[in-house]
Amino acid sequence: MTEFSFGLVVSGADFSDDEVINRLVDAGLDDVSFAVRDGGHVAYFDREGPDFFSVLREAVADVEAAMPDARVCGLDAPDFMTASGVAESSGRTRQNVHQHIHGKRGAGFPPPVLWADGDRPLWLRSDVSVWSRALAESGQASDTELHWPGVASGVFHLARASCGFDAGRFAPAMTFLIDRYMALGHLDEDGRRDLSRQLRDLADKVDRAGVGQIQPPGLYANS
Amino acid sequence: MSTRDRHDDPAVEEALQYAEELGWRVDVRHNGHVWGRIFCPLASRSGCQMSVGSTPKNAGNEAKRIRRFVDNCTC
Repeated sequence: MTEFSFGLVVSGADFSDDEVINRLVDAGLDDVSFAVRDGGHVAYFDREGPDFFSVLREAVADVEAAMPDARVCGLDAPDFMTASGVAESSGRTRQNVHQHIHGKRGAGFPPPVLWADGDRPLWLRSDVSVWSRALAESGQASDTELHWPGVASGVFHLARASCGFDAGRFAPAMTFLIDRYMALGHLDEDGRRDLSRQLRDLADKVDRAGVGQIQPPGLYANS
Repeated sequence: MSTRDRHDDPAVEEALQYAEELGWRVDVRHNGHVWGRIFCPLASRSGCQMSVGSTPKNAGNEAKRIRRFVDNCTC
């Protein structure tokens, strides 16, 4: 079973009205948050099931059964990712992800679940996670081309989470994390030195300016 | 520190405080299943709002939805 997070856009219901929500919860929708966003009325779910569309169908049926006058007319799907999103979240280059998509690095990459704008494929986050785990377990994780934006972004967020916002504590935390990260990565000596230098520069910059002033380096990916 | 009622569930309460830190308003209602509502900083009719349940089926998920909604608001 996998958990899916999504919102159903509903027409014919006013989610700013407490009485509407009380009726819906009484009808069994006690695992839902009701919101108004950009003028749309959205019911947000976190539900488990065997696959996304089974869970989606059931949720649509539940909403429409609870509100006979309402219809589900749209979807808020934060679990859908672009190829760039897959690259960013897995610390791969876009090129590496495209090779996986087109089977040039072996089979197993999941098919897209949606095409947007006609030619922009989207993947389901849970499908990508399953693929990523399987790849790691099969010992092929080393095909991940560790690259500066992905690694630095990960270290940056880890260090920030581990030492809060105190100036002066960032560089030591970063140094510790760099060493751990390096020990895990399959980098040659040049790559190791290069990454190490750039990460230390970043840590110094953060300690001088304060972490809030520095953009996570992942944002510079592919620039 | 705000003087509003706290939510019974610690995870939900934490998510509400997270929203408040980012400028959201927490409106406590105690209206049946509706514990309250959160409103985004754009406090006009076109702003975002979300209901907060009194006794959600899974409080951890309720807290997660609050945080995600707050994070995704671009108002």
